[in-house]
Amino acid sequence: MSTYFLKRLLMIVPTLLLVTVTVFVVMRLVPGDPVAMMLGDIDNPELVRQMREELRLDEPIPVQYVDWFRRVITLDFGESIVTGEPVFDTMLSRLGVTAQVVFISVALAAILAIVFGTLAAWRQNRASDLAITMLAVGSMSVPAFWVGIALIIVFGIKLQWLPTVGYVSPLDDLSESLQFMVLPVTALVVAETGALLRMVRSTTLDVLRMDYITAARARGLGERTVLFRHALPNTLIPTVTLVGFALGSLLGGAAVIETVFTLPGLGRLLVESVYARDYVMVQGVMIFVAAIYVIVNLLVDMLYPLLDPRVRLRA
Amino acid sequence: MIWTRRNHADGILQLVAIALLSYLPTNALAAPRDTNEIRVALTSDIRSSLPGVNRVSFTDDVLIHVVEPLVAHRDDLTVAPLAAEHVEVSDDLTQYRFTLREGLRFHNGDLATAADVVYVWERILDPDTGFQCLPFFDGTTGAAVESVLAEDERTVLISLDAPSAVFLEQLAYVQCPIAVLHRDSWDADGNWVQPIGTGPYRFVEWKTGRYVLLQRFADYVPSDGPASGLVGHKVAHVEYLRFLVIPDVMATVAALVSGQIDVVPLLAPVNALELRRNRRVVAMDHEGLSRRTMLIQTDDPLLSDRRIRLAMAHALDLEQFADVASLGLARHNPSTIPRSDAMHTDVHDESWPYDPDLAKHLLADAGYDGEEIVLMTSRSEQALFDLAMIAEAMWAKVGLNVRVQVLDFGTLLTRYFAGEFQVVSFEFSPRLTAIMNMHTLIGDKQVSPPRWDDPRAHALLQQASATPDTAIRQARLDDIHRLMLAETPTINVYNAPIIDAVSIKLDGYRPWAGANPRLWNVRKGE
Repeated sequence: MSTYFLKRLLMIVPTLLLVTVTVFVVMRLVPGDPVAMMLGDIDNPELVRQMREELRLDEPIPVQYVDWFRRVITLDFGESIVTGEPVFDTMLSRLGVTAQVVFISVALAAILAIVFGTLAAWRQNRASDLAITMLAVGSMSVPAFWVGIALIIVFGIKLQWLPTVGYVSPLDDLSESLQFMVLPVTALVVAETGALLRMVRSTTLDVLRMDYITAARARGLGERTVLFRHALPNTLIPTVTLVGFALGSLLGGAAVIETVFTLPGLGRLLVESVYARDYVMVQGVMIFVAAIYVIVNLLVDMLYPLLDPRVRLRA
Repeated sequence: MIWTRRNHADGILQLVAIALLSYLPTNALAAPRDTNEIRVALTSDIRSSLPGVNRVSFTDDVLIHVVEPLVAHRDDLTVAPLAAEHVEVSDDLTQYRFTLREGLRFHNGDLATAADVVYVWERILDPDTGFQCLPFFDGTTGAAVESVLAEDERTVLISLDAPSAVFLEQLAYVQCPIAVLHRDSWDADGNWVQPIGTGPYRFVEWKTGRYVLLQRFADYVPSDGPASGLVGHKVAHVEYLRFLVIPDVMATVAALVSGQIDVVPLLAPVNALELRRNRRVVAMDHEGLSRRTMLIQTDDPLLSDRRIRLAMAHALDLEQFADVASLGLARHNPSTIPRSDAMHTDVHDESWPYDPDLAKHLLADAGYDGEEIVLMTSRSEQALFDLAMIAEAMWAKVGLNVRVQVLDFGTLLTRYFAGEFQVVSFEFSPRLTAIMNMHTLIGDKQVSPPRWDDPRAHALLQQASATPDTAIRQARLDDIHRLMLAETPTINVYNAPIIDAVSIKLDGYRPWAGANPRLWNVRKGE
């Protein structure tokens, strides 16, 4: 398993290398000059020339790439073109916000999906199954931002129970931080639970039809034991895979929810940096997000043998 | 107690229940009732806290409360002393002597002196600082600053290499204030830290992507005279100002309605109209300075023909155009000079009459044969997109074959600066003086490709900038307007209305032509 792990770790290198080239080239193919964006309609050609020179935007693209890449391999992602802040520090601080929302949301969504997905499978074709399935389809059908807006209108504007804009770090004030998290987390939970629940339900149905379940029932085991001790562990692998995908994509792409709820997360940083043509920040964030995605999926793979002893990871 | 699997599960359920209960806050938590803090929405974060360098308009919104330049604008856009209490100008317009306000004190407690002003000027004039308006002072556009001397503790003498009638206006420019700053605003290596200014609020904290926090400066000594524009008697009634970064308009409006923020500057008309039905919020509007216009590239092979440009202007019912585009909140202004400016005389109300027949005649005369004209616009500012769509429809009526090209704002801006357009619906940010507004229109195409490069316009603008005689300046600006109507390098439509939505808890808030939200002399009630 350690060889497998090492090999998978090494495979991250060409993946990230490809990401660096793709992101670097694509960003420069997008029309729009970061210096023009910074100056707006102020007409100062000399300052434009000076800033382009300082930011080394006047050099050939391959030279810019090599220079940037040399720094990146030493984990020096450079400074934001727009704010001058170190990209790595900015990404880390923004990741903290995103991770807070995403981990809580995905964990809650996974718990809800496992509990209600299993219940729906166990009660197949009954009223409870129908109700749960309908809710799951509903959850999959509405985009997270719509749920977010609806929550803002109900809990922010009408009831005025919860704050809808801003962010407080849990390190500053845990109680207040939780209040700011409720609505974005709820929006993401609603959006993510549907697909996970459908996966748990269908996998559980498959497992419940297997011979060893029939044998367990024939041995006189209680339905709860059959369900939770024998059926549930075998439904977890596809669920964990899906949870891994959700974690990976949300850690880098919760931009819409972050924008709706004004959370200073990684997704919003990426979107704002693209609009501002902050090449250095976009490049840094994209590599960061790609690395997160690859690592999360690697960790998910590592979980398989723990969930199912029959699985052996071989190099 | 025996810890079994069952009571383990019960324990977890209890923890979840407690956590959920702690989620149920009171209204006080959701909507702060703190009368000591005014919260203002910014749609984008500031980029730096150094005035005039790497700025956006939001930077100005924050910094007008923190720093004070020697002079600034009044409500009527005339210039008055701010950090200075008196300004003496030599007859030949080359020497400007400023006497600092008595008791002018920095936020760290030190008294501001003439030497501090000289220190800031040295930094500003250094090209490495990247001061955006350096061309105003290095001789690129007009006179150059020759020397800045401290004559005594409170007197600064600035000498120019040539007469300039617009020097004070350039000094007052809100986008590039040469503020009186303490030298500890920079660290020992010369790197910017944060502004230690002389304004009614001091800079406390900037959390990137989240907020900027200012605190009332208890030792602030306001200047005399009524509060007007950015000058006069300014009193900080509220302890804290918090500028919150909220990029989404819907989230901003929701936060305002629910009482989480108090001021939303520069709302779009459509949002303002919706808010006018809300009892917790007041939407106030004021005629603005941002110029929404249809810029025409006079170098374009097709549009270099003056008759086609004139036809485009006559094909537009500009009064109706402005009314529809602004949802009835603005009037058509054909001039480059906004109505709020004293230099906007009746001459500047002269426009292109709506005359589709004349437009058709001009097109036929020019031999126009349905060649495609590309009208560039962007959706990043809905008003610019609306402008393009309305224009396209009106132009189609007289047979102009116009295709709207929608670009993201970054691309549009780059093409604009390169002069790579035929027609573009564009908005110029506020310029607080007539001369500066004219500079956004007139220029050398070799240096600024989007500008109108006409030797007659250059000469008139040069004369208007150099003369100390207001009547002559007015006459030259009037001439420029007439020439612009004849040549039609641009079709000015209207000045974007300033619409600020404010919580009814605020007392004393007033929008103004300069657009920046002013939070001094404002109280917040329960």
